[in-house]
Amino acid sequence: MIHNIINQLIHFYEIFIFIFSVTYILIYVILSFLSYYAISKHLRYQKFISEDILTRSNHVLGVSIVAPAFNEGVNIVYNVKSLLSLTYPKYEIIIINDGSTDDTLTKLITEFELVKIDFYYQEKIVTRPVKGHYKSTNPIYSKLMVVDKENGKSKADASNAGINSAQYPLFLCTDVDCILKRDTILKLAKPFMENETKVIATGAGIRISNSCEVEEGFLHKVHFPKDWYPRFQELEYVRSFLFGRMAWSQINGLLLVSGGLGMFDKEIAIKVGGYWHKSLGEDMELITRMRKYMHENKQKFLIKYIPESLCWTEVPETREVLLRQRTRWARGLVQTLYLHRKMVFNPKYGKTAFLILPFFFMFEFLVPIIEFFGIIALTTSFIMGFTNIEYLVTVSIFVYIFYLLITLISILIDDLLYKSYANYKELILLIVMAAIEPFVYHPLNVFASLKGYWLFFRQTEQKWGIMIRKGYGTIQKQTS
Amino acid sequence: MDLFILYLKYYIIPTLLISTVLLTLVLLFKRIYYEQKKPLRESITNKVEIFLTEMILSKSNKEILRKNLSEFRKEIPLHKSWCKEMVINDMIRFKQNLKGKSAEHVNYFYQVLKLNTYSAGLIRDFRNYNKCEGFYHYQALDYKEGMPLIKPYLKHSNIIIQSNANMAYISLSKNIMESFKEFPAKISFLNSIKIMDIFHEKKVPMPKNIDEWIATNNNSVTRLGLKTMVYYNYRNRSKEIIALLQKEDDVLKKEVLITVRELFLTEAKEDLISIFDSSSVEIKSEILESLKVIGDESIIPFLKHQIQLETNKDIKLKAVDCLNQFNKTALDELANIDPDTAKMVKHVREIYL
Repeated sequence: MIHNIINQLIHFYEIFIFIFSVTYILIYVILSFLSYYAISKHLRYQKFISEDILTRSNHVLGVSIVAPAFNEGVNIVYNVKSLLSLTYPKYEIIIINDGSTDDTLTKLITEFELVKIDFYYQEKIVTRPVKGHYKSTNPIYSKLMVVDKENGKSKADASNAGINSAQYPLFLCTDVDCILKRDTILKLAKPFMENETKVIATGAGIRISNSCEVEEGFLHKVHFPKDWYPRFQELEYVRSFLFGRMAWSQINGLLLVSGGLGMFDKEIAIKVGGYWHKSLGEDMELITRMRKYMHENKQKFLIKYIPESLCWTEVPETREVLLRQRTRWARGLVQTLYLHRKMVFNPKYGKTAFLILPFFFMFEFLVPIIEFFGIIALTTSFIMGFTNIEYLVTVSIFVYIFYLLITLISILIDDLLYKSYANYKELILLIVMAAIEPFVYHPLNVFASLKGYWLFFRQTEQKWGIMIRKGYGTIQKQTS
Repeated sequence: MDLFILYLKYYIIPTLLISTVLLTLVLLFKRIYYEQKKPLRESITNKVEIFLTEMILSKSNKEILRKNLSEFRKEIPLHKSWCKEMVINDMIRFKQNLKGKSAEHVNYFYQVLKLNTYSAGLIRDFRNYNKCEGFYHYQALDYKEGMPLIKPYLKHSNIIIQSNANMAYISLSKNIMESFKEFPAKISFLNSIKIMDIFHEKKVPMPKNIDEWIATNNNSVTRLGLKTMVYYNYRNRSKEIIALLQKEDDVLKKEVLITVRELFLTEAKEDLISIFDSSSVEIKSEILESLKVIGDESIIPFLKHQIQLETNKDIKLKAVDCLNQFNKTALDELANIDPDTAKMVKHVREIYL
């Protein structure tokens, strides 16, 4: 009797997995075409206006760079100098010292000749108290402003204080230790100026700086990461930015613009209340709220992605830190989906309700759970002798090759367009990484996701761990 | 299910496997080929740069230049598209940084090396982005002989081709600026930036019919006209400019307000004050910006009134900034009775902001 029930259950599970997998693969095939179309359209559209013209123009939209800093004393001076070297005719840099306990503020004051100023601060988004604003007495650094505030235990709170202090209609949110390409502002601001429909956010590709040659905050040479975990993450970033996000951008379905690099319409961001400081995936949560606001106000909008790597950031190098980061991301995902669950299938929210949120629920949130049940089903059927070896092997090979093909297409696009790696040996390494990723790296991600969901449903208090960063030739500590 | 497995096993998996292997090979071979050719390309790049620098700055007559150029042709693989593209880009770079006789040399080389025919080929190509590249070559190298080839695309159905063809055509024929008055479509924000850049780069004389630009029903042309008037500091039509404040379009109103302050049209004061209450927050902010530039003591009562009653802090801050320009004592009096105003006063008087 029990034998039969289990047999039936496994049979139903098999059918479910079959339907789910076919849908998943079909969606990815569609996404690949969309991505190809979006990238080629982007490349063609680049000829529309030379970026030199925009750099020379007085008529461009102003941009405020918002970069929170917590205990960044080791590299803060280099980081700010790197930001000051960006090319754009109208921008300011707002560094938010989020209650650092090291010498971050002192170093900024000394190096950039800062003095405390009388700034009329409007708390349009509620944050922890701001202690003061600093500007340089040296005109060379007139673009720089430092906001000193009490620690809010989150990047979101610091970013919000920066948004409150910004003077321009667009703001670019980044991490102070991220290295941006010189023309980053121009590339991200361009969609805001070239579209008749209101653009509310833009993003671009992020790459890994772990093994890159960085001197005083400036990127000298890009290298493929030397350590295993950053290598897998490199692969993940290439695939996700060039493949997934470009496709979603093409159908105006982006739900995530990375916290490391994203430009936003300040007015809309303020109207929705800025970043939510309790969120563990504040970047995704903000975009979801911005979409919600635009739908509710029946305003047409666009969220655009640029298929170019404009930002390099350091990623976790150890399993422990990686797991912690991914657990937080998973919690952020489930938290955002739960918070905005009423949007799903509500006609008021159009595409977000009927396509984007269901996709994220089905193919981002559910996948680790299905994989987990898959392992249980497989083990049970193996013990009870129901395993159809032929079916198992065939489907597994199919899924593996399909995944590999998708990854290789992303690598090919990246190499054809940007030649991001130093030589073909690094490409071979990347291909090898792609081949072993499902066995070595993917299980870790599944584990971290399940842990994240578990912690969310158990309502465990959120914690921001400590990540040891190598920095630029030095070692420093900061929050991850 | 069994049928599906059969298809997977004998058709889908082998197809995917072959695709994966092929893709890997293509990826690696392309990269290896690129790496092998890289030193050659780099050496040619250097050769081209050195040659162009020597030739452009040389004072030799055209005969000698022609002879040197024909020898140069033999040294580089100019039959390859990438090489042509590289030489043209170098020429554009030189052209943008040079003036006078040397800049004329660049055009001469462009024709002697027959790169103009390559650009023509790009314009005739079926791919839109190649057409735009071709237009750009003609525009950047000031190749006026190419105008007939651009003309058919001025009313092209593709908006990008149409825009780029128009910009190239305008850039090559300075007198065409006058025709903007009749422009049938909306001139986008980026196109207006491109046109202003042409004014700036090519030192185009101000269009003779500029007065008519601000009288059209096409608001985008009016906006462009206002920008052009600011660029040439043309103040002869102040009455007409101020009258545009009565239009409903906020984007146009904003441009008018910028023009008012840039051209220092002091006679607009009363009009700005009269539309203030019925305006949006953005327009109110622009009005106060303009009043700060063109205002005088006569607007003090209006500003005091706004500071005392305005609930929007951004607008109030602008009003405080404006009043600070004309009467600091009056502002101090308001600051004494309202701590919020006092904070704003400190902000606007902060010298490092």
